[in-house]
Amino acid sequence: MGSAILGYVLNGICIGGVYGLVSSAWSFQCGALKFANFAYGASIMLSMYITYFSIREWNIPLPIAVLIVLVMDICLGFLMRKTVLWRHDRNTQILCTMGLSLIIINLVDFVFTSYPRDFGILETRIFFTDSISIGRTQLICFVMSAVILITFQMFLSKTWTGRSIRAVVQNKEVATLMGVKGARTLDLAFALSYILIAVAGIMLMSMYQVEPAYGDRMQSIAFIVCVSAGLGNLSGAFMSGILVGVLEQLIVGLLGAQFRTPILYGLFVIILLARPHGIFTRKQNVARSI
Amino acid sequence: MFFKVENSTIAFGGLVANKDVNVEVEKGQIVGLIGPNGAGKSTLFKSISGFNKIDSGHIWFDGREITNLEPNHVCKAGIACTFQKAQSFADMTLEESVLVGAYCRRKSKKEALAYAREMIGFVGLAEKQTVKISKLNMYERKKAELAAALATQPQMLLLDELFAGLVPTEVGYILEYVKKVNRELGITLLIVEHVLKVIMSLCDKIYVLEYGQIIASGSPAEVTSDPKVIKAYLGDDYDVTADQQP
Amino acid sequence: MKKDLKDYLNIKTLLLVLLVALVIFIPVWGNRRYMNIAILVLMYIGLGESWNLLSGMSGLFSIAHALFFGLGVYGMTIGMTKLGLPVVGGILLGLAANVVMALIVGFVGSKLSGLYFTMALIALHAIIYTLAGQMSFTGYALGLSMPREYLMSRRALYFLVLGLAILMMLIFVWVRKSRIGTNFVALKENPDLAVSLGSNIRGWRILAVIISAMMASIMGAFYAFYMMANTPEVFASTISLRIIMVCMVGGLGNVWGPVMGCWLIVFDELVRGVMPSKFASFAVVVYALVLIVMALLKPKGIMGSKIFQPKETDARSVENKKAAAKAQK
Repeated sequence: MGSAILGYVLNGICIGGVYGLVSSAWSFQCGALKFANFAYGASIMLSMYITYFSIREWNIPLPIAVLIVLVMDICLGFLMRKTVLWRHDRNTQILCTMGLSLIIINLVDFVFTSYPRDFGILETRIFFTDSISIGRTQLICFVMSAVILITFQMFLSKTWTGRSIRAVVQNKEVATLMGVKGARTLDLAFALSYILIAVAGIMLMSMYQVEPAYGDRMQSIAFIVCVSAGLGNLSGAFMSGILVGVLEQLIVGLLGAQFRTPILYGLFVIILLARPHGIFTRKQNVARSI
Repeated sequence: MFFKVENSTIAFGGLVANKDVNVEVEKGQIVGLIGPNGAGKSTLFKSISGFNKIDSGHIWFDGREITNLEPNHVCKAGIACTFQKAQSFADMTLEESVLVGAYCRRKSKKEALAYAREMIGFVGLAEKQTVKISKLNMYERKKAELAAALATQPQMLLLDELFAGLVPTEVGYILEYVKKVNRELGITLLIVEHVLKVIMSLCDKIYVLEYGQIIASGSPAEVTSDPKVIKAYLGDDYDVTADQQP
Repeated sequence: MKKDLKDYLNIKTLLLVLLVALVIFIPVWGNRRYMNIAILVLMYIGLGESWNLLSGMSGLFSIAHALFFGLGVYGMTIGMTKLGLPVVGGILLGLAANVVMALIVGFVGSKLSGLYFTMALIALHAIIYTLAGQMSFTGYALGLSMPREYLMSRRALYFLVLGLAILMMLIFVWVRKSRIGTNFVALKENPDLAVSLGSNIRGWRILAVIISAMMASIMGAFYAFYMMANTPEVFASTISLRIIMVCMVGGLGNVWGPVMGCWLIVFDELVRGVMPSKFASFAVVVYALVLIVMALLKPKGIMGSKIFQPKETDARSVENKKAAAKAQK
């Protein structure tokens, strides 16, 4: 029993890394850029489908397939910004992205059918003891997620583009006065966040099977991770991503897969009611502009 | 004391916006709060009206403590306010937007509507009752905001740069309304303004804020002759004595 | 001001007369298929009013309104079949469940921004949707069947739902005119100003969710009698989508909005009848597209069009317009 739990925890940490990546992209979009993107789970699902079909059905070599997914996601992000997200009114954004999400889900259902797909790769597992092991792909994914997130953070804090994104996020007018092109920087930032989504989609596809409703699951995980870390907190999102990954593995392993959604979402509602600004964050005074 | 702010301190991150601010207002007075841009006037205002939560200190009003109450409870306690940037319910008619304020103390629609109309008449917008707020001009919007604040039947009214964005003749008109509010309705006024000229003619007592602290207080004449105030407004280089010689 | 007969001869009156004629005509005609469509349309008008009250009037965007509707359906069926309650008991059960949900969602929505409200609603919706298909109490994925003796004729159902739809419209109008509605709109337009004028933001927002949820719940209770069964599909996002669409196309925050948008339901049902089921998912794509286009280009819907706007009564704005026209010349 003990070793089983340890196995779940290890697996959870590995998957949690990917969850961290998935959620930090959403955290970045919603918390920092203030684009309420509810087409987010659907975008991941779409990336997964494209990955699957380009490799398995269309026999495209892996590097080119990755490139295709990346380009497609950047285009999707850019198009979203130009069409459904150009208004800064929160309610319109929610409504439009929700509509887009339905469009993507139903188009995928129409084109690729709702039959669940997976690569069916027989994973080589790394054994620590006889009963405790983790998959190699999982480990690679975890490391890659961490590397990508750290790179992204570095990009935001070190490069000029990254800094200008942060400047625009903080105060668009002042940033514009300093010679930063406000709208274009936001376009760029949004498209960049979609690279994270593409990578996350590819990684998830290598581990799981995908069906049109899969996006909702990722969305649920992004919600709980982001809210427990505090919306807009990227490094926190990685940490709570790991926490949620472990929790999810424990729920699925010990209770059964049907309890995943109710328990995770139930927890989410409790966090929202009790500590909506993040479990570990301290509340700070914010100057209100009225 | 009718209204009193005691050692109010508030910091945003590392920036201390108000430090140990003390303000006292007697019933029926018109009190001004002046200071250069960024001195913390609006912060103090928002602390009083409940939009900011102060870190330490107390605010007393009419014998009860109103420190860190929610804005709606502050309003119920009897303090209404108008904002620096004119706020309005763009999609409502003038009548209904004043009605929002009137519902603060009146539960039945009939009474509230009658009072709201009375207040609209008071600020002289009676013929515009059914016009949408978004169709009013700046001057009318300021008056509409004043009417809505008055409709909550406050004992004290906070005016945050009411005169900003108006042309001089309009400032004159609004000034008359402000005086009328104090005289006819008996409402105590606390006014933030950085235009000195307006406030000198109006106030019984003035507080001067700089870098989040009160640097002077007293009657308009006392305050304007205070070297610290002159320095704050005109800079270090300005020679006070030079101005007094003919 | 005295009104001539001429003042009443406008597009609004024409539409109203047409509407009344249609409402009377349908049961007389009595074709079973068109009766079903008419019942659905009226139901969506009722649900639309409920959504409009929450989202159009109070500004809290309810993305998963099927949650409230579905709880109404389940409250009725569970109350009838599992607990043996009378009809009123079933309605009350649905209402009680909805009030609990509304309190949770409303609490989150009143404390935080609209984004959190949406997230909380999606979360609760997902919990209930999943549980509804997994518990024996709710009849798993197949749902529960209502007792046969409650089977009603189409005509009876039609008049029942007609009454309910009118009731929902009346509730909407009453709320809008009363103290509650004034505060709702104020909180939507400018929460900071409203709260500084003494409006209790938290209380009003929770109340908005509760009223809206209860309205949806009653329509749900009706749906239980219409379908004589429940399935987890009453929580499906297509129902939410249809509710939102009816309002967004018709007019946000306007009592006539759902009425003006209900032709979409007619269209949907007619197309569904002739289309192969393979294309069902494709239909959702079209509706979502319509929704996006409406939200982006015409956020006030059909009722926001010029012909439905009240005439300019203010003398000065008319003068301004004249002056502007002169200046253009």
